[in-house]
Amino acid sequence: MDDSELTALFVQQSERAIALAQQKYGSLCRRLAERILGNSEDAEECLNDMWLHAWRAIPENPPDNLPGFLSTLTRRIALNRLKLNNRLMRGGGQVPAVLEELSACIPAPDSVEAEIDRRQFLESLTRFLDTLPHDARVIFVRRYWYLNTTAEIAEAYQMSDGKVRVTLTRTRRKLKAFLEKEEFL
Amino acid sequence: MKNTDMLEWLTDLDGRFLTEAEQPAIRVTHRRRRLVPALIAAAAAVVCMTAGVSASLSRNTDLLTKWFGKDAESSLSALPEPKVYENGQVRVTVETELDDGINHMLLVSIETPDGEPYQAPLYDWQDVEGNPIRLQQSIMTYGYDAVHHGFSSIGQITEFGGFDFRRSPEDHSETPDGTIPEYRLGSYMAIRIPYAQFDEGDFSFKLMFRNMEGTEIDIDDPDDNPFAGISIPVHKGQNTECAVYRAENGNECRLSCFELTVLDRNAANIAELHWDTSGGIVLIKTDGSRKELDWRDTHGAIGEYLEPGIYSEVPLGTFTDTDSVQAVELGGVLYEKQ
Repeated sequence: MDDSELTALFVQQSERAIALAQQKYGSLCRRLAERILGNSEDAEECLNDMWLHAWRAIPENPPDNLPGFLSTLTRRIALNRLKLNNRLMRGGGQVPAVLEELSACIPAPDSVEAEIDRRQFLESLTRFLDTLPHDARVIFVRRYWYLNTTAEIAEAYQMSDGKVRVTLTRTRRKLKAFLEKEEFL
Repeated sequence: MKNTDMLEWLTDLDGRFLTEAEQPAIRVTHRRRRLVPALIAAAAAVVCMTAGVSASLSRNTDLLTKWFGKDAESSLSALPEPKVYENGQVRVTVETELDDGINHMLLVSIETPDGEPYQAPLYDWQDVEGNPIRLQQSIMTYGYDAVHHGFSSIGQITEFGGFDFRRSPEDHSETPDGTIPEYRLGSYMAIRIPYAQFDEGDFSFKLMFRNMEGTEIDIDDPDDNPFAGISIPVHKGQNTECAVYRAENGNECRLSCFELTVLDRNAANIAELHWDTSGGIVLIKTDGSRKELDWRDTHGAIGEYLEPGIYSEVPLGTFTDTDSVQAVELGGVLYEKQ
């Protein structure tokens, strides 16, 4: 079943929608939730919330990119749960490592919170990602959106773990320079 | 902003980046196999000819002027001659190959063996608004580890279409009658090797289409790769002038007929590099006139970080005669010819 048919089932509020979506994208969302939350129990609860949200939201606004929508929903719910659990720096998962890596690229609290809203930041980030070579962009998104480990990325792209790390390091440097130029830093 | 905010903000990243990252990686193999007759025939059909051998190898003046601009017409005869590589499926012509001692580029055209426009494979994609569109696959280079220099691996400026989001969606869309716009069928591209360091001497690279299905590709199998059997050599050796311009702070920029490179000797890392093109890049001619530098869209590669102290590669949009350029004004800083 392709994504448009699956989305149509959600719109029709068919009971098969969630079961079929779980078959197709359940493992993708589960891995993402586990990477963020660091344990399978929390990830399971996160997924339950996610399917409920998807069930309610899709009929009103059917997504063009179903896996993107489901994984975005999963990511948002998992991060909210992480904050609620207050496990940020002591929990498992990839979040502490990712935050450590991104720390140099994160705008200063005062300057950003006062003057720059999230949308402007996303627009800048989009422009930045558009400037990257394909492989560097995919590696960046895999690491900082999907929270894949560098080893997972290396295996997926048949490159060394070192090359992934070097690519990420250079991309972060570029991002820092870019954000400075855009006056976020 | 707290660290977690950054991750939360990233959640709303444009979906096309997520779709792109979800694509399985291309797996390139070099299976050792017994040569089958078709492969032998394809390998035997691979030829390399230089201009002068055949009338069909005359300099492609139309393409060269299209790429380098009309001002280049008087300089075309000085450009390296074309070389052709064929395998029975596709003809690849290196229209010219330039090396300014820092950067290297090959202007390449791709046709059928009959000289007709080559139709690249199509794949289904979405435009920025999520509408389904069909795109031609872009061409990848493969096998350039010899000069892979950090982040600045071999690069392409392609007008072949393909994996490029910056064009407007309608450019990529099928026309109402379902055909692909004609302009996309003519294919040529510049393959650039910025800051090329031929530490290991000359090398070769291969071509392949970016496979959006993520299936395994045997790059040497004609069934998998229409470019199978074609290996394009890159020759070390500066063949065009590169003028040096220096600023009062000791920084340098180097200008050749096809590229501008900036060397910031004082910068220890990318954050310290001074690269401000907001005021444009101005060439100051020997007669005192000023001309805005016409540079080519590298899809973001302008200002690419090469290594500490070197921040460069601005491929020029038009052929530039360095003899006529007395100084370069870059981000308000004057670089004078040495």
